[in-house]
Amino acid sequence: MKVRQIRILKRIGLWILLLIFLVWTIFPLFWLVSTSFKGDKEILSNNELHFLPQQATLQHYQNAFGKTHFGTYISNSVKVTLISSTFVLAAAIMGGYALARYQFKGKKTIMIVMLASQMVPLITAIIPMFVLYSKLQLIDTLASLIITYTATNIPFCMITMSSFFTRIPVSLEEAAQIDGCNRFQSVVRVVLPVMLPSIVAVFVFAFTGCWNELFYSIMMINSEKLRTIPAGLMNFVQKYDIDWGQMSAAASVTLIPVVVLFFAVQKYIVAGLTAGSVKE
Amino acid sequence: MKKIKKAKRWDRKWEPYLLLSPALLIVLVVMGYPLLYSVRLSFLNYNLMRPKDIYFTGFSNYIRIFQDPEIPKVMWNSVKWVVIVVAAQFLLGLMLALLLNSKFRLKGLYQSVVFLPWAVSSYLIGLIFKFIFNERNGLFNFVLQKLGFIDGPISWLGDTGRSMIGPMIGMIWYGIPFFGIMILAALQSISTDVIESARIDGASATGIFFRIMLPYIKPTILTTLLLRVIWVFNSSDMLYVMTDGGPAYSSSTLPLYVFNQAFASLDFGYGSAVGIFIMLLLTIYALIYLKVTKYHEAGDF
Amino acid sequence: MLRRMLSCILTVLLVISLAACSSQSGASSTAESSPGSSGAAVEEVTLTFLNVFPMDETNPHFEKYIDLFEAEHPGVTVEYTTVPWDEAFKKVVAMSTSNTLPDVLTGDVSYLLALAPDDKILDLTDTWKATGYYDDLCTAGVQSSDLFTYDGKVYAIPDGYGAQGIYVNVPMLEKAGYDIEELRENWTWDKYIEVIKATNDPANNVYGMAFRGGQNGFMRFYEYLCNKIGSDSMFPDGTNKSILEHPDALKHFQDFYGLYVDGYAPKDSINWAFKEMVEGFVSGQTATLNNSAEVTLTCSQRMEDDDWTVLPFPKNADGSKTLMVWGHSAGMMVSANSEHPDLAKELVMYLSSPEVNSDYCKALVALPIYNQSLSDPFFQEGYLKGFADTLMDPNLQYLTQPTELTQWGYFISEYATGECQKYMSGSQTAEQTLSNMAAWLSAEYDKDIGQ
Repeated sequence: MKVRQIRILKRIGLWILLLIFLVWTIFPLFWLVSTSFKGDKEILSNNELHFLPQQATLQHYQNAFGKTHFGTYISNSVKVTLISSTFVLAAAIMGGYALARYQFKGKKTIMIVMLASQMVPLITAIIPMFVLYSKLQLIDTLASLIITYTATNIPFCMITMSSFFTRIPVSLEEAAQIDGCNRFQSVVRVVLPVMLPSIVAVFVFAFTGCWNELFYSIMMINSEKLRTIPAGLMNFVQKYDIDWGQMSAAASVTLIPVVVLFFAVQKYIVAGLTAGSVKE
Repeated sequence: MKKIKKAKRWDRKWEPYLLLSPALLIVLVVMGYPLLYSVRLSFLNYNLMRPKDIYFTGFSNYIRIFQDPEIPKVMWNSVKWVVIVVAAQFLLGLMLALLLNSKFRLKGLYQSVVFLPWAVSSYLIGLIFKFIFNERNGLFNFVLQKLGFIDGPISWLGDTGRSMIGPMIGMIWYGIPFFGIMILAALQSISTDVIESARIDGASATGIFFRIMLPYIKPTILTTLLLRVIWVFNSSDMLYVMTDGGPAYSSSTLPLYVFNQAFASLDFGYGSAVGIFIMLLLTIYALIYLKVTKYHEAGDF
Repeated sequence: MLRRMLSCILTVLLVISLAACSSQSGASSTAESSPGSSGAAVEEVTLTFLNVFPMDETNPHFEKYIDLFEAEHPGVTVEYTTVPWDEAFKKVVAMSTSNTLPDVLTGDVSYLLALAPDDKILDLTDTWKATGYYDDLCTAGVQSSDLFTYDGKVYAIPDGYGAQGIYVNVPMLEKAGYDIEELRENWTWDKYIEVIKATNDPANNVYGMAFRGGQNGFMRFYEYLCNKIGSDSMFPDGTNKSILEHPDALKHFQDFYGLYVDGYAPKDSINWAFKEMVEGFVSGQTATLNNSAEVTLTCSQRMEDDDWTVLPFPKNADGSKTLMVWGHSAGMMVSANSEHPDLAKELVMYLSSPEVNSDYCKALVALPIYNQSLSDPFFQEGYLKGFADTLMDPNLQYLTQPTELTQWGYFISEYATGECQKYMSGSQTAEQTLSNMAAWLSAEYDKDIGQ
């Protein structure tokens, strides 16, 4: 009886905490979506505030997608993000494995290089990087963004990946090798499947890192047809005013693919290890 | 038999370098070149507004850092920014991960919603939170007023004592899912058998947490904290959008301060010197961190 | 499972990269073949045009006239690109350092001062004079020529002029007992400040003015101080002694910034720059707004017509000349690394020719740069008439900025902003603030001009 009560209390506690996290997360996003349906007057009112639009309007959606090239921005963002995060993932798996499984000279130096690359402040990077890319004729190409995003996201993803590898027992690989696999096969066939959740997590980090980047995108891209979503959103911030309505409408729509992705992918993070069968 | 073994060892020697080469190559080119370029600039009198006046000045750009009257304030702001933001992101992220590690209905949907902030651009988050912390018709004031905490609207972004609160909350909101995902992924890879057997042996929930889970996820936590501190330190989108460091530098951190100064004065000699100074500070931090946490024992180095 | 996922991802990537490649090659091949196909003699030329000042109102204008220009020049393609204003300066600086500036770009005086000294942009003096329009430049343009020249040479062709005006919320002023037409008659600084104080109602979240405490806010004080002490420049004596060292400067500083300190502006406005001020006024948080003509666009879109109007820039009570800073929004410049400088110059001259310029100014709600366009009825009606009259007023004098200081742009955007915010937030005395800024100006004066 007492045990049951405690269990119910625990359950209630869990639900309350879950609710708090949910409200905290949703509120700013709810506000964004709610604003996107409000008329200009309501958005810029003084003293007055309503959670829901007083007179809901679709006008901002029509303007944002009728007058701008948001479809193009979305497709550019998808291209840049998918290609760079795949590169990041491949480099992170290879490098992460090397860092976790081998003892070799220069390991520390490599770690320091990776750490140091994360320390470079934007102000130090931007002008020389621009000079470098213009020498390579990469300015105003999506390739410039792919290269930059790959380079800036690799260190974190690789170090993370290596810490995931260290958690997988070596015995797993050795067993596969005894069964006749070579080292490469043992990793691809046995270790990577076990690490699927971690791989998905790392991919999501690379993905969000690329998807959201604004400053390089504004600096490197000139053409309207090569712009990415974050840079496209900045179009609504003009010299004389910010078009809050159109911006929130466009931002709300661009959130949809990400919600879908997260929904599709979270299964893999959650999936974890099936029944813990591969553990020591 | 012996020969084969030797050949294998030779291969093995090169394997790690081969595996690491793509990552190293791209990182060294993309980040290394700018770095060397900046080191050079930092020893030059290099102001784009005075293009005919470029010459070697030794350490004078570095000496200027210590003469700049705003630097101590701005450095203190950086410390506050990093400590508060990372601590809150970590603790709340850990809590979220533990919650998600239990079973409940609609978990998939819930999970994809609470991870969502991580998928929003930080500039956009800055704009949303600027709107929310607005004195005029901001949601934050509105809610506080409805709840009876304040009588009239308060200026959150225009007060030197409060100007960092809004950007900090925005940054915390943004970063919780990150820690949540990292820690959850680590928790998920703990064998359920281990926890089950501990439970059967009569260990309490807190006991399981501190004695089994925490040691297990410690490497993840250490790596993540180390990198996040560096990352949050350098990240100034939120501050840039919400207050641009104002009023009177009260919400300016070192990277934001040098960014604004360098682009307004076009003095890239000084700007590069501060950039290199930031890297030195972070390196010192990283060395101390690695020493204090005995990081290599945790298994990564 | 993993293999299936990997192959899925790979397929998607392959398709995407193929699509990306094919669309790029497709675009370039059409550009090569279409105009030149008729005659082999036509040379293919692409000009790039970067507008740092994109607006929904002016983007179509540029696109329309660029199309016309292309039609008149077979084989020439002009790529019109934009960059958001807030990040534009950084991008242009990066482009300039790597010698990759677009053939033609727009920019205000700070762009000119960053690019001209290093010869990153071309001298347009002769080109402009050759068009014959140069002599027709309006008075506002002639007086403020320091904004488009460097070292006596023209580096930018101005786009359109706007005077400062005081935007007022009509119902709020009427509630405070003012008659707008009466105010117009006797509109002085004292009256303006009186109105600010009378309309202030913090209890209802309404403030007298939209204060500019953020970037470039110092300009409004500079204007105020010059009018109060009757100086038409920062260094009236020709020495390193700036007007901030004038005996009355402290009093005027305290009066002007006192408007914020004493609560006649929202607390948030310590960080406000252009956009935030406009939002404050348009939303009804502030009763007045001191701003340039372009704001009429936003006001007419977001406010009821009867709720707002524009009063002129305040006069001095003693009848002395009104000193005011005005300028063009963003002049057009030609990059020195352009491979087709003559064609680029031709494009700039075309886009700033009287008819095209007049059309542009109608879209932007600014005054055109040539006298012949000013007679167009459009500029003689409504709000623009008010601004046109202001700029034609014989009692008005252009207030120069000390652009001879290479760090002037840094001073108004960063240094003065920080110092004044320290005073506004109470962490520094007025005396200290003024003496810091005066010392800074003197030191820079010595560096650039010498004693």
